[in-house]
Amino acid sequence: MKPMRCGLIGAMAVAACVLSSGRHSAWAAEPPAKVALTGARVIPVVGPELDGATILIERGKITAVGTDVKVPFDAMEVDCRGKVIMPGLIEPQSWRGLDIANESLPVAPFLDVGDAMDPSRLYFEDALRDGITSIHVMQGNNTVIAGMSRVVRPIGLTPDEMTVDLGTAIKLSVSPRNGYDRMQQMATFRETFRELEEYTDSIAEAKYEESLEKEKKKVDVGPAEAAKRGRPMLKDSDYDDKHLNLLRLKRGDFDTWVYVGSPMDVSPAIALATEQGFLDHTILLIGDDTFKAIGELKKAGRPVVLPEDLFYRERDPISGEITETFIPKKIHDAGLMFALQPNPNSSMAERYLTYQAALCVRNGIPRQTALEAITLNPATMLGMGDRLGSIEAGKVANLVIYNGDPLDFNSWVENVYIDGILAYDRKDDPRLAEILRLEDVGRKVDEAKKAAEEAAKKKDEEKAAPKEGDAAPKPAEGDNAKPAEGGSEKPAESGRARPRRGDGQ
Amino acid sequence: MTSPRVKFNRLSMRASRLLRGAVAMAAVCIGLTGVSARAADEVVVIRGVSIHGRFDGGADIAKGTVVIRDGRIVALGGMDLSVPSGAKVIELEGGSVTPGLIDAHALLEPTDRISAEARGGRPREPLTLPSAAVLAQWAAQGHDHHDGETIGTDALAAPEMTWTEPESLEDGVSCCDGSECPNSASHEALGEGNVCPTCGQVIMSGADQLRYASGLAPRNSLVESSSEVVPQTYVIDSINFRSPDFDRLVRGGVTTVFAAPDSAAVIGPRGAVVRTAGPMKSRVMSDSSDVLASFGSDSFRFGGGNQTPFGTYVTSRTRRPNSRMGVAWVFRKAFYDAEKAQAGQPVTGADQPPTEAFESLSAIRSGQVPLRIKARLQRDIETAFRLSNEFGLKFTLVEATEAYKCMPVIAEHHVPVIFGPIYIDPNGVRAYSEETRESRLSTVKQLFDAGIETAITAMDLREEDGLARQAMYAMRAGVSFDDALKAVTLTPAKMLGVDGEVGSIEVGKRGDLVVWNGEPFESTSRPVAVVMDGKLVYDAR
Repeated sequence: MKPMRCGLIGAMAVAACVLSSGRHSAWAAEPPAKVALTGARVIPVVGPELDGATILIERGKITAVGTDVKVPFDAMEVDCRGKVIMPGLIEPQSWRGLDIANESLPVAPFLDVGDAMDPSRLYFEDALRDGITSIHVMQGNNTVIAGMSRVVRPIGLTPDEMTVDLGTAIKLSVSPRNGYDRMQQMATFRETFRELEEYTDSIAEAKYEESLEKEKKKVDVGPAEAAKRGRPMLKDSDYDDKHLNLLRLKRGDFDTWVYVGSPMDVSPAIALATEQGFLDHTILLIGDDTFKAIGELKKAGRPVVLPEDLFYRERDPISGEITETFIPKKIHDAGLMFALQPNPNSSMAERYLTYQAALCVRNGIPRQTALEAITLNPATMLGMGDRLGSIEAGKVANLVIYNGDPLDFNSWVENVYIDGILAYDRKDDPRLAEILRLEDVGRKVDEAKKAAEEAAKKKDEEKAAPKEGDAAPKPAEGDNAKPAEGGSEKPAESGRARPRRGDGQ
Repeated sequence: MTSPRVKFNRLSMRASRLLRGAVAMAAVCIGLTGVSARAADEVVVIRGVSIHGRFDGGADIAKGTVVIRDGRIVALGGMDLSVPSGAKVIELEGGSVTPGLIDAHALLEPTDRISAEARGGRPREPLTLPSAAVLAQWAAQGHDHHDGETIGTDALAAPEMTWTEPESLEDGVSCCDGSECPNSASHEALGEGNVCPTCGQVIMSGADQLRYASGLAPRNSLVESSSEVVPQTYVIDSINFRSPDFDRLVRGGVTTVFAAPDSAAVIGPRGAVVRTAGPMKSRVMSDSSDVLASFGSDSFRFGGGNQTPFGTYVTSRTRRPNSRMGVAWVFRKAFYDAEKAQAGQPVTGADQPPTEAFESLSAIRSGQVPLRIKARLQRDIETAFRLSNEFGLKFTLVEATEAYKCMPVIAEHHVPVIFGPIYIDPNGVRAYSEETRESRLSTVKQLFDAGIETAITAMDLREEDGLARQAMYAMRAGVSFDDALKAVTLTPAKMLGVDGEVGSIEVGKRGDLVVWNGEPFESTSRPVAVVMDGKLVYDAR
């Protein structure tokens, strides 16, 4: 059965699974009514892996998963035999979709990353190609209190079209931003939260006075008492953007992601969160050697987002000895929930989230934990654990189809479904073909093998009936037969594989 | 036991040793004439693992046993093979074993770069400058004064690297600008490179002071850059056998390497084939292996540039090439000069190599000394073929990033290729060089498809990023497991002329084995133990 075809990004106005409050654009297209992916090995992340299972998608949501699911007569069936299906990967935080990672203002909770998002960034295309279906777009770490983040899909033409969830979280950085030292950084936090109280007092006082005015009464108490009486009357709409978001942060309306770049930052960060009351809504983003404060991290018990480089290497300044620490192992051993980040700046395999998970397995972390760290854990951290991160009935149909085990480095992402829509098809990825000059390698290998067999057969035939005047070995017809000549004395003129697109089926 | 090539090398080595009067290294030579490390009657048995890389026609064994006695593989078979009493048994359920990996072109780090590397290529700690006394000593010995602490190519090429003003130097080491010398007025008269009798400092040009202040010295520790033609020098003399770099190689499963010269000279030194661990006397398999020539921009990017040869000044006569034209000219001239010298004619022109260099060049032409040419871009690869055809040279092509653009010419000449390193994304931070921009993942696959003898190298990448991962990348590009394994074991062993000793799991070969905690080259497995000459040199089970 032919997989359905949708164009990349362009044709992708998106499904109506936008949640959360606030503005979002009207969706032009709807996902196909019913899609059934059949015959694949399914890694649901929750529960055991299923062989030869069917995933039924209705209007962008998964409605059934299992080996005994009947394909409805009106569903479009996609044959996935020999493939492996995983929930869409989730990048726990990234600023690479922004035109500039950091705002020059140190305290800017009134900002929205959506205003700086550039949907045309190659980064989003790469993310889709690598099977990432949700990206938590945040500002960088060079800030004190950053703007509101969003969760986006790597498809869509405008930030709003891409957005799945807005106002997701705010990032605080306890490690000093450029030009600040730690004293100034912490003083800025104190100042900001004190100023919030002052501001609240002033509007509360005004509110109280206003209420008295309405009743044509005169102000009967001092400003402090007035503020106290006015506070319960305050509504969110009385606050300006900056203070409202700070208030919501303290209230725990959304999560606070705190960057702790070094071990010395952990205890002030936890003290700050405790003091301001948002510790229960805190996610910690750790730096390369923050794991050294593992005791404090463990005590706080908050989920942790690991740095991009999972190894920390340090040379002892006296002995010169090098110690190597595998960070996820430390965090896992402390019993903390963690999420992995890809490293898109790397020239090496770390740019793939699945490879980061494989590294974890390679270094002694259970496979299940490693898989959760790139799917369910980040979903939970984003407060979207009920919608994303696993293949279960009721969840959003964000799925990645691999041609092998996702943690096997020889596997490729074949298709990506986002909200039940085919958002990526490797056969329609001319850029991948050009960047890697790699068409369907598996197919090519098969062709080469076939050609070699044919050539061998021919040779045998020729040997059996030698013709005169035909001394030179005849090159087999076409490009495909070339690898067969590999062993001959003079290799083929061109062993170059030309990407041939679009003839994959 | 030793290949004819190695024998020749050693003979010629002895001759040149006498000339150079280097007595100290002779001890290593004598060590070489013995067989190898021998542990008396020590038996190591590896059991319960799948065995890959037999290459002698024998199929892989799904679950088998390898017996190593006295540093050599003596038996190979299934689980029914009996275990000699008193043997040290390594048993790993679900594991596998391959021959020790061989890097055909390892760029060893003479200093320790890892602290810089671990932080994205930029050193965090301030770099130590050579002390005034050391500088003076170098100057007295006639050394190039940049041959000190280098910080590695990453830092050299990192765009974020900024120049520090000389004023930021700490007290005591800034004296080379003369500011603290009571007799600084006389510095100019003394001239660069000389030692001031008052302060004892080497007098440096402003540019050199800047280079030192910023820590940006050329990476010339493993290449001689007093001349662009130095095939009479030997990398073995520069190798620090106690460098932690060897430990990192071992942890990555690499047991034998070609210690390659850096590519900063057009015709560089002769490399060496060394072992990454074991007793000192068995570490050197060949102290005079291939000569490395490099085309492209390396010699003027990383090389001495317009530095002075020993004891002279920069003039129009000593100037070095600064374009590909110049590089090709230096290469061509060297061979013509060798021809002239051999015919007894006088050799003219600037930057004349010494007589010993001509001997090496003649040996390259006669095929006695193997040549490898490092070329990345298509045009440099084509230049390599043009020039080698001109002199009838046989060579091995190294790095060959853009080989996919000129596959026909490579295949036509039957040139072996040492390919790598492979980067998943050429635009990432590790693949910093402008000459690797147009690399393609499938190039390695195309080399195999064209039937070219291909070895894979990781060059300066280590451990997690090392040779095993390179093989894994090749497999992602479609290379079969057997080909990938061969490209990091037997093929490089053949290229280095040591395939009689190492490179496969065969009875009689050295007991160099890597034990993996899964199947080799899978993203979820890694080397957990390394056995060299029948001794467990790394164990992380």
